[in-house]
Amino acid sequence: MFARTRPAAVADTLPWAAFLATTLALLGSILLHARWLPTSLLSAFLLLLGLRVALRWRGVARIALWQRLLVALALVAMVVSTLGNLFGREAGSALLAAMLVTKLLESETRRDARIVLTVVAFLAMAGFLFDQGMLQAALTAAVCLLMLAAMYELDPASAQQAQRAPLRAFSSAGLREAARHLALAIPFALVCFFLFPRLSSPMWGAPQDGFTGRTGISDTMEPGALAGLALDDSVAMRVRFDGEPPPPAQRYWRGLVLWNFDGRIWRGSEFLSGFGAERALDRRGPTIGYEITLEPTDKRWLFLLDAPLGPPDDATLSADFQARAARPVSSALRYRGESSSVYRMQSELPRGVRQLGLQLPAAGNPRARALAQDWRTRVGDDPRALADLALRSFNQSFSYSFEVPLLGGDPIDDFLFEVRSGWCEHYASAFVFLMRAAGVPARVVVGFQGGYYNLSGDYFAVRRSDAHAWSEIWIAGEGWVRIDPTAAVAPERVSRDARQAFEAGGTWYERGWLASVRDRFDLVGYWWTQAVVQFSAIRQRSLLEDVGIDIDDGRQLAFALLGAAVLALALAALVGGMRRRRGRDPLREAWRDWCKRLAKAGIVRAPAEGPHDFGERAAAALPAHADAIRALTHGYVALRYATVEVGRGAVDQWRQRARAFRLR
Amino acid sequence: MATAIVRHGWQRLLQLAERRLPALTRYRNTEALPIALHRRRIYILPTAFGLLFGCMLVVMLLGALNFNNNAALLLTFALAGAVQISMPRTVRHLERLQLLAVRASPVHAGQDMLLAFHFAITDQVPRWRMQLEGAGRSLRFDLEGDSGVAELAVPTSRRGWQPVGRYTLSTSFPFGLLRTWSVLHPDQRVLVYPRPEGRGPALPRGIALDAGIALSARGDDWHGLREYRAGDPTRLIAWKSSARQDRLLVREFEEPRGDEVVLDWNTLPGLDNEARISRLTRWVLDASASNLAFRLVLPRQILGPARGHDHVAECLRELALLP
Repeated sequence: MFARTRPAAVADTLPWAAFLATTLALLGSILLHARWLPTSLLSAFLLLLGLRVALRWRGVARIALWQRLLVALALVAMVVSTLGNLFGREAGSALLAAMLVTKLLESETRRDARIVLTVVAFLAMAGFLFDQGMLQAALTAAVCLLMLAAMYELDPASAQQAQRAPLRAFSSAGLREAARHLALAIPFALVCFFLFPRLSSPMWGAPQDGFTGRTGISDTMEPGALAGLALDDSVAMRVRFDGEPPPPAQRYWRGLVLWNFDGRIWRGSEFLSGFGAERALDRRGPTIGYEITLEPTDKRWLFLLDAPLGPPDDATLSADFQARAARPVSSALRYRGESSSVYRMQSELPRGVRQLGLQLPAAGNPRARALAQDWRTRVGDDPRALADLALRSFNQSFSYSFEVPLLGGDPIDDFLFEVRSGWCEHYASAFVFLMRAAGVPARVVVGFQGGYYNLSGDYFAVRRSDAHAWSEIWIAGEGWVRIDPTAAVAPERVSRDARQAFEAGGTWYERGWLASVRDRFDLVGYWWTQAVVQFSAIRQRSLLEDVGIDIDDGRQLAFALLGAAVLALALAALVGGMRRRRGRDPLREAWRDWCKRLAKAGIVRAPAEGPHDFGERAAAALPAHADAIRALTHGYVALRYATVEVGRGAVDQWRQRARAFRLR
Repeated sequence: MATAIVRHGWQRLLQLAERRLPALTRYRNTEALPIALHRRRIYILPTAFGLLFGCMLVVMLLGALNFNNNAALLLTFALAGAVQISMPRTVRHLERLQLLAVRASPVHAGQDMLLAFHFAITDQVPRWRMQLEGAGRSLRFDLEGDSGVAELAVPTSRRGWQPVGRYTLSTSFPFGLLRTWSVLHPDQRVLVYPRPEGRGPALPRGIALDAGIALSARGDDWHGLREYRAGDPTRLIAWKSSARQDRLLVREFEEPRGDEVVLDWNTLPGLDNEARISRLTRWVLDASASNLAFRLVLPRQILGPARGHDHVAECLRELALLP
């Protein structure tokens, strides 16, 4: 036996490429959180990563312990100061990212880098706590690809592989392996996803801090609030009608009803939300049934087509016809609604509600009040006539615009007499103010208006930019009547959708092929929401019952899960094996091609015939080409049975010579 | 300290396994070459990194289930699937390999021997990032095409025929999460020459029976100058001396001839066997370095007189194989 010496400690230093790959994977996972991380924190992370890479490139590998501690403390302090605490969804993710960045500062071994990559997987997953949309999912998949490719780079390479351009972080082989593994994992992931039993109630608390990340309609309305949404093209909800959809001008999606005005901000009324039983809707037209898939808002209210006949399941409908879900909508929610476009809403107005509908701040906006009084003396207390006066005035001398200067201390006055241009919320606010000042009960309704029809998917996509505010006035004998003052200024806003109202000829995404591409993209997003994000224990149960599996029978489910998972893996292994076997030896391929060409000339190589014998036979049969044939066979034998390492160049040369060989 | 205890415990466990689990250690006996690697002799276990990553996946699964977050759940399963897929991939990295031969040029005991492991790749898929471990050494290498060689330098300690020993061929391709390995214990021996004496007496010279010295233009030892004769090569002319003497002088060398050097086992009394072998080995190497013809007298045989590579190799071989 040979002497046994203790193996020399394998050098565990991190090669440059592996370091860079790890850094990029970490960067990717941090960028997954870019939308909700505070800008200062995000730029601190990017700065530190950049600094680390630059320092290591310059040869400064070690960063002193006290410096690292300082960085860690500074980052924690930044998290606390920007996010307020150390717990909860945002702060937790930010803290995790901060820890990873600090860890990377000291990562000089493969072991360190592997720890970083393991936590990167968790950070990538945490991104789904904020957004489960398809785009986020696609980006997360890309980060996983980088993570696996970085793991590939971390596996110690042999000497010849290690000699690579130092700036290249990922080898194409590594990216290929990572992509292959992820692609082949899809069947397994789907099987587990649909069969794995879900928890009926959480083991520990769900993240409570809700709204910060999401943009959307808030529960108050002040000048400029909705205008911020005008450029947000993301989908707020998707609607599929059972039958014929109502015409565009009828597509008002009722959300919130706002009653209280403090001179600047409109708020909802807690007073009315308790009076669910008193709502009274007299349906006068056909019932319209539809199904809505609402993207998460982290708010409790739901949107329904005006005017809803009843609450969706698990929701309530208040006296002013606001639908509220039992819990905040933290992941996509699907619900059914029934509405009617022709209705009479609350033809009897209780005293309390009437007072609420006439409430105005004690002082402020004197010119608007004076104008309302002036109108009242002109046409009396006929609500319709008063409304017509207001709308006519809007129509004649007002314009519709995103760019509204900041309004001063009397915003209604400023809007009505100075600026004279604005966005739907300005009109709704001013109109309701004028009506109340003239003695007509009025309220503001916030929701969506419009919806873009997706041809490929046969549904309407309502975007956040479709957010809208309108008003309702109460008329004796008719109840609450919807009046949209924006329609008086810019009728096309109502007949088409929000952005189109500004851009002649439709938006860029509604032109030609782009429209269909965008439709399809949105459709895929819809499918993703329907199939993945929305999947629940209830859907799982019905799905499994369809294929005859009883979800309550644990053994049955376990067997199904195990069997399907093994099947999925076997399928993946089979596909993976098939693909690999095709990649063959280039020399053998070239030799076979050449043999085929000789076979066309009548010289067929016997299966057991060696290249030498075959060459001699061919040379004898084709004396004119004997030299060329012998040269090629000798060359092939020399390459095939080489005793020294054969370079790729020699094989290529032989192939070119074989191709140049002509029988004529 | 703690790692030493753990390592010790692990070694004990391995010893126990070798005694108690013959199925696991069956391939620890020698086998005739070629050795084909098939899946029954390929083992796989997660690495420390693999265990860590697995724990992280469990944590992710619990988190996703708890928050009822379907996208996170899908991500967790996709990553778990990728790990699963890498399992057959890793095993396939060793499968369909064949160890054809192990060759080595002899070295002296105490030197590192370069063992060349010749592998055949039956399916011609490149095998990246292989590791060969044994005899306290390890090597990382790649195999490409339909065959390849891995050269591992192993230490040697004793002369004579030595079994090649047991080696572990392993890989953690592609992600380092799983390590798969197979034990190679080829029934093959390699020759190790004796260790030459480090600092001993010089090569015995002039004790030969028919000593004679040929003077010639070749050789190592400078003998003197003589007068130029027609036909002498000009490079041998000693120009400086010629100038001084005012006649052409030519350098002359002496070269030993015939059975001039005899390396005799029996003339080394007072030394034990190994010391004699060691000294004779040194002398053979010295004689070979001076390109002398020599005769080696061993207890049972006499080799030479001769010179040259083959003779030296034969002498060293016989010295190595002395009992």
